[in-house]
Amino acid sequence: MAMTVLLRTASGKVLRSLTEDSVRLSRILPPIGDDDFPFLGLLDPYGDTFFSSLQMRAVIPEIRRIRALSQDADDLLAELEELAEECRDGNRLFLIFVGD
Amino acid sequence: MRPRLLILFAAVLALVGGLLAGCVSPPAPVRVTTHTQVQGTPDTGVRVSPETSLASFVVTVPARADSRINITDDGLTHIFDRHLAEGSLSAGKSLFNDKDSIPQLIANAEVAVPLSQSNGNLAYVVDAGRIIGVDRETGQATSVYTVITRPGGDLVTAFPGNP
Repeated sequence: MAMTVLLRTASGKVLRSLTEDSVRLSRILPPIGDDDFPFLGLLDPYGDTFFSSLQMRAVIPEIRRIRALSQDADDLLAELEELAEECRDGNRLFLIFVGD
Repeated sequence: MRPRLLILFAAVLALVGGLLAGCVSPPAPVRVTTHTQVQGTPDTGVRVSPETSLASFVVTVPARADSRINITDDGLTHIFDRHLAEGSLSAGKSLFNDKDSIPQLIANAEVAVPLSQSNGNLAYVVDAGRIIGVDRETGQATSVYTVITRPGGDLVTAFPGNP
């Protein structure tokens, strides 16, 4: 499994991406159906999961909780959190988790 | 005169009956579409959606008692976007070496026993016996690939490596 992340405009332009550590990211994200992570626990491993700017209000705290729990992926999760914050602060931006 | 009329009437009845029977007979199953040709023995073929127009691949189907993987246009597009070097979403993904071989690899997965996933999808894990791409997880060339389908058989994705 290799999960990549894109920060994209509504018209489809990719502004930033997180692709280098795709395998490591897929390992530290919550498993499907994890009730403790209502947003990040429902990422489609074989499809695209779109989140809007507004939904970053829920996604960012979940990323921070994973950061607190994770031992060795703080750099990667910090980068993911940056993307999420940029999505939250932008105009008509989407954070897209791209599955296999 | 009367016997001739009866014979004529009977012949007309037989003709009409035959025509009606022909109308209500179930049509023979059609597996080959105008866009995609499937080679293989009847009743053992991979189903290819009639709407599949992306590719004109010729797929040789392994012999099986039933048909389970439905190669859809959406499924192939999904794979080409993510798992070919030239794909628009391929950064950070496992990559197939050869686009043209992908439909055949998917068809060959029919011989594998599928594993059920938590959401009901089915995962077919196959060793092709030759290098088919690069597994992102190991960074190495691999002969193993995975095909994911919906429970009904529609193709979801396929990629080098394990699920």
